[in-house]
Amino acid sequence: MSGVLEDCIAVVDDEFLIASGLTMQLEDLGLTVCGTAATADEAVALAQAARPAVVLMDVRLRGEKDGIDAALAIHDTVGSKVIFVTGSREAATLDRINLDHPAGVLFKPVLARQLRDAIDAALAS
Amino acid sequence: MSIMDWLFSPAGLTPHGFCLSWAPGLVSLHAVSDGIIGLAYFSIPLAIAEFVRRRPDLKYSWVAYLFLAFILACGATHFMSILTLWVPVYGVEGLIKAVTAILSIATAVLLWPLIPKVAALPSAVQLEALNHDLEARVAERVAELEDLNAQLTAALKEKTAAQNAQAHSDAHFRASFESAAVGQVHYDPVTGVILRANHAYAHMLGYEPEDLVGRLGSDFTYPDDKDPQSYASMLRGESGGYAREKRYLRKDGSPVWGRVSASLVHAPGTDAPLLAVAVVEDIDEGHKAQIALSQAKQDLEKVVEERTAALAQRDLLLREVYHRVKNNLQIVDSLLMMQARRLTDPQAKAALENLRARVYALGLVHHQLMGSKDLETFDIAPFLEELSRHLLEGAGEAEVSLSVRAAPLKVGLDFAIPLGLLVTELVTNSMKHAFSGGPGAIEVTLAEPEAGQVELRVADDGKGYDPEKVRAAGPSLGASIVDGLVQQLKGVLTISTQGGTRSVIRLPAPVQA
Repeated sequence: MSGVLEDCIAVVDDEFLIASGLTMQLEDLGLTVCGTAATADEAVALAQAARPAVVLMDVRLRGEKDGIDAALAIHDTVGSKVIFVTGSREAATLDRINLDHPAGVLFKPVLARQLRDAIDAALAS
Repeated sequence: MSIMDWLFSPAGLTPHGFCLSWAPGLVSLHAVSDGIIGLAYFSIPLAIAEFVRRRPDLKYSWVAYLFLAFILACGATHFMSILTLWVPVYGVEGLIKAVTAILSIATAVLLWPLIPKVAALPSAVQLEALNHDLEARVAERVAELEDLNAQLTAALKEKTAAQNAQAHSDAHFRASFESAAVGQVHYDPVTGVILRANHAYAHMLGYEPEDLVGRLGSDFTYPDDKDPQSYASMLRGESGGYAREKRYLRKDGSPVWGRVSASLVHAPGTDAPLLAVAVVEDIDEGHKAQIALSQAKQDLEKVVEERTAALAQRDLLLREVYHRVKNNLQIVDSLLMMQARRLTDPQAKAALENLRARVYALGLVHHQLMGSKDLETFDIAPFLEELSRHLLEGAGEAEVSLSVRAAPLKVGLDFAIPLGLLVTELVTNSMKHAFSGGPGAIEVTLAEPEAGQVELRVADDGKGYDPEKVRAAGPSLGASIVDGLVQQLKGVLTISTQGGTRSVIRLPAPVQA
């Protein structure tokens, strides 16, 4: 699966403004964003192409597959650390998130500091 | 010579007295002696005749009559001898003697063969012995008969007693059978024909007992509930009996629920069934009540199911709404952040950051609601902790510590949003004005000092900025938000600046729906 991962972060969210906001927050933290994706398939393709060290993954995505499907696929094929960024607190969603042994779970809205701490923790593990 | 002459006066013959020379003594002697003999001979037959008449049981009494005739005839000859002393009727006398001779011969001839027979007749002594013996046997027999009679009487008595007891028992049985509150039926075990049925059973079916006798028991089972197997199995001896609940058929064609217990009565010591006995309890009302109950229960379960489904649907929709509200707030937050990055004026940048904090408070309320069980209320304590931590982290003031102490309190959206915004404004104010970049501590406390009252206190240990001075410095959005929300919550705000700034807001506790 793995191989060398790039020192960059992929952002997956089907809301352009949220993806953009996250991207800016990351850039403000001095991190590199290697791309954004709006669907699960795009996310997997992006991860396979850019090989990011970390993926910020929204759970609810447009289309049949959700962020957890994408995260499982990325975990298997690329090996990136996945941090879920979700607006949902529902138990069913959290149970599905835990299927992927996530590197972190953040609830929207996400603060720059929370983001930095989560990424630091994911990269350190 | 004529026959009359021959009879009465044979020619030439003289009377017999002539032969005696009419000697008076001699003639008299003959005449008297013949007379006496003749009389005697006439009296003897009379005695014999009387004797025979008195003893009609005598065997061979004809011999007595023969003797009687013979002696009479002899007597007649003696009277003829007297007559012939004086009248020479020798022809008549000869004829009478001839008759006498015939009678005497006949008697003699007939008497001889009779002798052994008469000799065989028991004598009086023998008869007496016989009689005696007979009497003894009769006595014996009488005794036997009396004994028998006594036995018979006793037996009769016993039988009567038994009959009485049987009658008593029959009456007892009939009474208990007839007046039993539960239905009782006796069937012919082979044909299934009803032999007797009591009132309870008949009335349950809308009949009188006499209407049922002679009809097939199975005619009164509701067609759908017939179960000939159970009966046949009992009849074959495979089961001692059976009990089941089934519907019976009433006279008007309607079904009635009954619980039947059936068994067979056998002839003593045999396998031959004498009687099939059934006890039938009317359970129609209970059964109908049970059916109505289960129907009502089903209806209720359906309603509950529908309500549950409706509730689940409502929950789903509510979660979706909360999710979308949150997502939209996140978009607003992104827009604010993107806008703030483009600004160079620090005041404008700070204003947008304040806006982001307020938007966060709104988002956090929806976040709590999504996690709550009823989707309507949540505990204020974790909400305040998370909100305060966010404010602290957002400010980036690492040297300021913040503690939250909140009593558990269930709140809804209407209370949590203004309260969250109040905490946001007050904490933001403290961080902006109290410490001037130095270290410090902020305490957020939520308590219920008395029932129905909530007290929110935000205190810092900073330099004690005077909110009035801050207000006087210019129209402040934060101050008017605080005033407006306190008013909205019908609370009272008091501010003290002794040893740091302390804002205390007293509010009526949220009313729980």
